[in-house]
Amino acid sequence: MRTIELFRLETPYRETLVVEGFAFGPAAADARASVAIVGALRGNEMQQAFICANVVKRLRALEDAGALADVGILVIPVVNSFSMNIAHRFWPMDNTDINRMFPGYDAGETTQRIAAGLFDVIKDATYGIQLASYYLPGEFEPHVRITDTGVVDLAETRRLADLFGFPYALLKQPAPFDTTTLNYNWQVWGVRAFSLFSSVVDRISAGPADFVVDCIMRFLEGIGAIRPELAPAPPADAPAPCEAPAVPEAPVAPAGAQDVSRETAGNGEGAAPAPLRTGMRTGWEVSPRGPYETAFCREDALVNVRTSRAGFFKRVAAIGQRVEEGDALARILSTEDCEVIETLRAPVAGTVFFRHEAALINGETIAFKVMPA
Amino acid sequence: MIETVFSAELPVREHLLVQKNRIIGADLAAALDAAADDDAPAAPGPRGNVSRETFAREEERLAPDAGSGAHAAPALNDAQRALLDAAPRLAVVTGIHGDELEGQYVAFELARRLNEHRDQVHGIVDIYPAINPLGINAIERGVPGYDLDLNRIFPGDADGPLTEALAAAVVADIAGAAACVDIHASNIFLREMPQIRINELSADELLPLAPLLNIDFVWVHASATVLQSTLAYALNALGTRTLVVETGVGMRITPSEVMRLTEGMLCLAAHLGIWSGPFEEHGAPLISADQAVSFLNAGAAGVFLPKAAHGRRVGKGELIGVIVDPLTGEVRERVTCPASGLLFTLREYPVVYPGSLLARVLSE
Ligand SMILES: [Zn+2]
Repeated sequence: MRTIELFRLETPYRETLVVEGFAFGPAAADARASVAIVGALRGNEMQQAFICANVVKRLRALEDAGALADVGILVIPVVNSFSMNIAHRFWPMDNTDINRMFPGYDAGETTQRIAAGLFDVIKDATYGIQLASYYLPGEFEPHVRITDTGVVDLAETRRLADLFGFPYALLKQPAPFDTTTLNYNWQVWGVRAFSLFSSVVDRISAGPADFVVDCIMRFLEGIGAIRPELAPAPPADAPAPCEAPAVPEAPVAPAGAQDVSRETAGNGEGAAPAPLRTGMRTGWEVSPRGPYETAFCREDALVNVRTSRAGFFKRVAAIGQRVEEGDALARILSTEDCEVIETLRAPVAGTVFFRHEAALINGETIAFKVMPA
Repeated sequence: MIETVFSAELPVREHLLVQKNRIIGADLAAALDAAADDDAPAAPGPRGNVSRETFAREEERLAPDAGSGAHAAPALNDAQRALLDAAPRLAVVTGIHGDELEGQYVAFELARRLNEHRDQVHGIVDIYPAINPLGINAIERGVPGYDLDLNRIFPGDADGPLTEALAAAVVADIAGAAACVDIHASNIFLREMPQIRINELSADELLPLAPLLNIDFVWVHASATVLQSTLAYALNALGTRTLVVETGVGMRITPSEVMRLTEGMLCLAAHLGIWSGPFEEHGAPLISADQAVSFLNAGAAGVFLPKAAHGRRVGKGELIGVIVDPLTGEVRERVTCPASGLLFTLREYPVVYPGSLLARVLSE
């Protein structure tokens, strides 16, 4: 592992900001291909940083075992350490979002310079993976997202997205503000770009983190960056990289077409469902979940469930849960007497894909997204 | 009359309300009153009438359902609706950014002037003082609880989250106006001379209107993709001519400039045939493209102390300010002017990072 300084910025009243990445495999000139993996661009992306740090840990073990192939891998767990260290989501001084500054401008404002410094290093990668977060506070079914900029070869992208083994891959039509995100600009520069959404953002959820780490390792193996025959055996006392919860917080596996039933997936650590795919071995199958056959969907196929009332948010349905049309997803309780003032119901049969996550909820907003079956 | 453009319930006994002040000229109000006696109303509920008293009763009737403070638009019949649709309308919008207050004065002063002389108003002036009311209340630029710049999500989505539904409601309400002015102050970091910023894509439609607003200069800028998510871009794309004004500084009101701007609103209203009262005209503005604007960014971190005066001409090589280090007592950088011209932007907030914008100069 080589530590690489990507960007350095003198700052007022604090230590100099240094963005570092961890490089594995051959240097660019000798590499057959390269992968850049970017973690926290925002200061609240703790789960995303945690996933990247675990990827670094696994890659280091693979490197020690001689199991890395001729693909350069650069992992940047935290870009925005300056915000993370002081519990800010965006840039401390002007509240700007680094992920709205790409491709960056090296003579511009501070966050434009950071974006430019980072992008300069990662724009020539063959593959780009960003651990992303959503702008609404909530929990997601883990998935991979591809922005359809119109310049990508969709068949090729689907083949690559499939390597992760996520239950879902979403194709997103870019909105105007998307044109300044890392994912969009990677694509403009010809990088095969993927945004990975874990379940949560500003706290660590170990099970989904493990799952996403596994997904990344499967992708790296799928593109030939890892030589599985040389990979060390998984530790005997798995789960290894992080302490998994005794009982999964929320079932993650998809239902419906898949033969993994809700009951099985929610059955705790012991009863791991058999992976759906055979013939692929990562050597790191410590997670009880996946890989899955990836279902490809357009993002606009998700059905929004909106509130009309505001109050305490009492969730009923879990992420990944299969629901029938009309099933209760959550109730909104009066903040005065806890009476139910609205019941949010599934508008279609499908899988709970996104769920608002807070004690309170406003009226006229999105509480759930359901993936129709 | 006060109307509600968007309402969403908040968890504890409150609504987020985007409201506007609809000022209707005396002649149009009389025509609407006359039309009230026409055919049966198209909308359910009692027959509408636009006189003040009728609205007050209507509001009372609607109040329990609409939530406290909400003002529902009165029920109108087809003839009245047709009259309102045909009337020329000017929309004056401000408060998208909660830390920009210059427009608050314009909203107040414009409403005061128009209310005093309804007989000189011909048509409709809609004044929207606070598109982001929670942000203004909390001194937050973005929308509290969403941590998001409202002027980056237009045209919004009625089926989206609260912020996007709000944006969509605002666009729907303004669309179709003869013209719209979106008043921004600068942010808390920079002081600006009164100026209008026009996307080059809309220059043909907007350049004839811009000089009416009593600003010092018009900046025709290249079409950056990020600006596609602004209110102005969304409205211009719908064919509603929308001008963006930037003036003063964040979190403050600069009275001389906003008074001038208020006169500019009246001047524009007169041009549109909506105002026949008096107004003051300022001299013609400078009109410039990107090439003539020089940016001065900080090269060092520290505290910026301006040495040049804002809004004045500066010569090439002239000292604009210094960046100093309070810990060591050293001057870290001397910032000099790359070209002579008008110092139309100057840093107001002292603490700077490398890259922080310090000044903009319009070359002569
Ligand atoms: Zn603004």
